[in-house]
Amino acid sequence: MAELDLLRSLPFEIAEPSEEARGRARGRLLRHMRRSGSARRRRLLVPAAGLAAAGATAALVGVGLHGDGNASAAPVLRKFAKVAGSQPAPAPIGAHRFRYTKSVQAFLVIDGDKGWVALGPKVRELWEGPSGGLLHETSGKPEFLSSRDRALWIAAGRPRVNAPAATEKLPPSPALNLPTNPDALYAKLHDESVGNANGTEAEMFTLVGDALRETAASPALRSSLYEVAARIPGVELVGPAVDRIGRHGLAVAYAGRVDHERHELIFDPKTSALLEEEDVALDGNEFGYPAGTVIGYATYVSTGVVDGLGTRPTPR
Amino acid sequence: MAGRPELSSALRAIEGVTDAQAIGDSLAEPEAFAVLFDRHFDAVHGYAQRRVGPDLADEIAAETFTRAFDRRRRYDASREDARPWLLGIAANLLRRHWRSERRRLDAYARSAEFEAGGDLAPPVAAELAAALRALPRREREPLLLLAWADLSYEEIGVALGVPIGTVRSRISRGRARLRGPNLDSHRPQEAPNNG
Repeated sequence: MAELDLLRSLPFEIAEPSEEARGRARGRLLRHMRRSGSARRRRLLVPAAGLAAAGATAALVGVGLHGDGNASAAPVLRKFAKVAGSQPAPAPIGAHRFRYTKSVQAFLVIDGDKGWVALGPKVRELWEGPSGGLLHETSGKPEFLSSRDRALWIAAGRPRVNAPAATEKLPPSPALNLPTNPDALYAKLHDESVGNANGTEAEMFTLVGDALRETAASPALRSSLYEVAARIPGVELVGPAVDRIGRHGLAVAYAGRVDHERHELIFDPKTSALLEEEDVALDGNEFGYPAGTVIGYATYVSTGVVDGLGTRPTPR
Repeated sequence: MAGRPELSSALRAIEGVTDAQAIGDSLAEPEAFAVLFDRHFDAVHGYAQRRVGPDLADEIAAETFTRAFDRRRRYDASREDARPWLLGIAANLLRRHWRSERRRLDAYARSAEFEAGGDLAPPVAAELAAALRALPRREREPLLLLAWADLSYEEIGVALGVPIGTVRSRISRGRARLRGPNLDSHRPQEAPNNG
């Protein structure tokens, strides 16, 4: 280990960080956490993620524009705002009334030792009631990023990709606490986004997505969220899209210039419900994946109101 | 840097929560993430400081934690200790500062009064700095995480997102490249003849 000893003896003087530097850095982290870390924040991995509106039988109607991925999504989002505002309010929850949502969500699982990377889908079932809820997760089949990843996983003895099935109790979901006036909502989301490492607009798009997937948002708030999305510079219309369970919708996206990822949302034009989210790596992404690699998705499968924790709605 | 893993284990034992648990908790309670900072800031800062000097280290160490917070959902919860992950984020940030790092190594390599550190003969240290500067990044990075951050091969794999076999071969190649004539004949305070 002579070379290592030599490297360690290189006379680079190392001092403990100054108290001032440590304090500044800690303050920066705390401010950052406050700005970007509320409990239900961030796309995709939110335990309380659910479907925004009832009915998973959408047909592609209404807006029907064909975007090329660079067109502004504003006109389409404004139509969604109208559609959202005219939807019925979400069914209230209460004693013996729980909101049930089912989704399939997949995130990257990276095995640094063996070198394989896969998407590990989980089927998530969520029951939400006024005094708490329940989350039940089961694992789906891993989706490897490439045949090489799959081969490495096989060579490693086919280890489990996702955790085994699990059920956990959840505290009550916090209230959304967002204004329904579009100007006030824009100002609030903008304030929360300024200074975010991924860029103000990217963060605003994320915030809008976070709130849209909330089941509790009122029609007025959902309408306002679409209006705000229409005003965020850089939100693109992708065009007609089909989600992973075959439903037709319209997709909008924001391509992050900092994280080099494209975040896509597919909506049902008939109800404005969020059908699916997808994250795609772009050139320059931190993982070095080929552009176009899907690195995460969430498909919102169904929702309904049931009379007990653990009870599933009757299929229609 | 030696002794830090013991220290962080002790802290964890006292506080009764692993890094992975703190990260998991921070998904619902963002403040839970602050414990990561308290445990690992000095290690991240120390590593950055060796690479690019104290001023840039302040910036890189601070940015490492805000980035880590943003990426915490992707954290592999089976890894109790988050230090390798954090150092990997710092290593990524350091890539942007290769110019500073190079200047720093150049300055050492050129320095006629290279004696600050004690037990390395100046020409040896100068040659080592030059050899380090010449290493390809894919070899320099794992080698420095091993030598300066005391990570294991496995942890380096986690930090850099590469398989452990790759870590081994890169470190082995890097070490071979560092083995110049001066370094082979290294003896403290004894200058080799072609320094």
